[in-house]
Amino acid sequence: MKLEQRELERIVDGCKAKNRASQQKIYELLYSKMLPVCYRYARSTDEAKDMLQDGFIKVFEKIEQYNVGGSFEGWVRRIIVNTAIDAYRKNKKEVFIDDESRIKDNSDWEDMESESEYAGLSINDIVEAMQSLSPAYQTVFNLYVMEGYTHQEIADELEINIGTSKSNLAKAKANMKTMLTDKLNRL
Amino acid sequence: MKNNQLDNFESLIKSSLDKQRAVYDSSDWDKLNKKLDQANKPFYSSPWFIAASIAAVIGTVYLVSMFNAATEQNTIAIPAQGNELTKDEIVNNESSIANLLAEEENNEVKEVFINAEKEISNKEETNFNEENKNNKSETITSDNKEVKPQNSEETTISEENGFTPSDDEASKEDNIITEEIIILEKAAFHMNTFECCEGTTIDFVAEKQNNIDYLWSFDDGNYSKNETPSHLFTSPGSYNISLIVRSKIDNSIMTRSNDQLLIVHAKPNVQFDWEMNEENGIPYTSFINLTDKGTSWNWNFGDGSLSIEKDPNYTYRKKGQFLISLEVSNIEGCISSINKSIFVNQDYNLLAPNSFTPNGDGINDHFLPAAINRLDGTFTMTVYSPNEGLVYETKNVNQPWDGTNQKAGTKCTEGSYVWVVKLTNEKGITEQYKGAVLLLK
Repeated sequence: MKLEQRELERIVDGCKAKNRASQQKIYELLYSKMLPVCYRYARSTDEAKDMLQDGFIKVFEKIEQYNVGGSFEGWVRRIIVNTAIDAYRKNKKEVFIDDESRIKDNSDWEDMESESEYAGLSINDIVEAMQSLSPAYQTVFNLYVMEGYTHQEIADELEINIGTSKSNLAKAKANMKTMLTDKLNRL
Repeated sequence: MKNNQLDNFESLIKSSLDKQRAVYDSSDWDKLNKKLDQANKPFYSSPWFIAASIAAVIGTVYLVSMFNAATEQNTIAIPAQGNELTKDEIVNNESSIANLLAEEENNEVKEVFINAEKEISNKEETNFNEENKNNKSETITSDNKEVKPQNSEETTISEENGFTPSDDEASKEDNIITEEIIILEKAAFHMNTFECCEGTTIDFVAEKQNNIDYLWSFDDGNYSKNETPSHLFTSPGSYNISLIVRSKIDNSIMTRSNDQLLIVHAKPNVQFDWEMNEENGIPYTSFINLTDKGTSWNWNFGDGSLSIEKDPNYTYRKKGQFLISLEVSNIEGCISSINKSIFVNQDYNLLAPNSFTPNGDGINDHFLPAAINRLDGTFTMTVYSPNEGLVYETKNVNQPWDGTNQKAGTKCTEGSYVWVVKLTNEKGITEQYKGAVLLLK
């Protein structure tokens, strides 16, 4: 957001007063960054946009709780992510696969491979791959990698155990790698 | 929330996704706007109030936007919006796979056999003596270079089943698998040269094995998964080419880096300038060679004349546009060239007059191209009559043509004569000029 803090505060005040124009400004300002966050949790663009809408409705409902001084963008992002987690919980039909199967550490190969190939992929390729992960893998991967949640935090949020979170992350990664490699081979 | 220690893959995904931006779509706001209406004013959903609410909303929006314009104008950068934007378009910093498979025409392959070996990737926990027979390594000498085999890293064998290695059952399982699978034999490759100039495509050939994935690093940020990749090296430097092979069966890997680095030499940074000069009325172009670290130079002046001097001077005979090329090679034998266009604004033919009057009045009685007087060097001038052939020959600036026929000892009649000058300049190069001169009385 290229916006002075003073201006931001004014708009946030407008939002607290339920001023629709201020709400629109906030929406416009954060849209370009927050929609991609939703893409990563959603299965499709439409779902991502619905998620974004629900997220912003919560942002506007909860705007009183925002403390001036903290990162507003970070605060909004947390609400959006929580919305995504809620959506996941609501749609949760799939059982987290609860095993601790080891992912082999072929570090030489993998270091070089990730340097080589995945860096060459477009963001769209990566988002697509992420959207085709199973919802459980997708959510864990996002929370861990993109949002920096610890396995403990993920376990708490999703009401699973830590081991499950770890193995889901490993499997999400393995699946991502397979999908991305396939995409590359098709280039 | 803490920052997790991310591995390579995770960091890559994160850093590229963090860059993702969506293009603003104003219709999304319209939808949200409606939802917010519903959330705040549920009773408006009654059909009776719709007509009234439209008017109210219009009024509100107007007032709000007036308020906004007054308080917030020029302070907020509103993202571009409009119908021309594709819905759902995402702004990506898309990067393609740079040079992953630079396929250029193959240079003549001077095959150098780098190294070959047979190794077996063994597993720590298992000690199969019967495998030792495969554990020999061989050194092959070629191209007068002895290349030592390198021991490659051994790796563990993947477990497709869920057993842990400490588990006795699992160890047994592993042992059985180890006996059955074909393990990596070698990670060896050939390349067609160890030394080249920038801009050269090098061909690499991995030793063929079954059920193997190949992953090459060319040490310049480019990689390949081909068995026989070709790669264009665009920058000078030393490159440590490495190959990792991975068994498709047990995922074990072997790594091979070349003992000998690939040296990519810089090409000379060829550049020249020129200036138009004149000395004693004779025009010439001075070429100024600005190439760094060249050792030999090939000039083509664009009119058929060549030079191998570093900073040549050249006199164009004809006016006009000429395409000059300079090709320079450096001590490593790398060559680069440049072309530049030059405009010459006058003809030059030894500054010869086009007529003379050999009538003994002391004015304009002799013919000799003026430039000959001003140039050091030897010359021969011959004059031809259309009817009588050769009429005069001189090698002496003090004996210009006086309008006589040397052989016959007679005075030539009025008319047009052809002159030819062969001139050896100070660099020992013979040049020939010719022209016509009108003899008048």
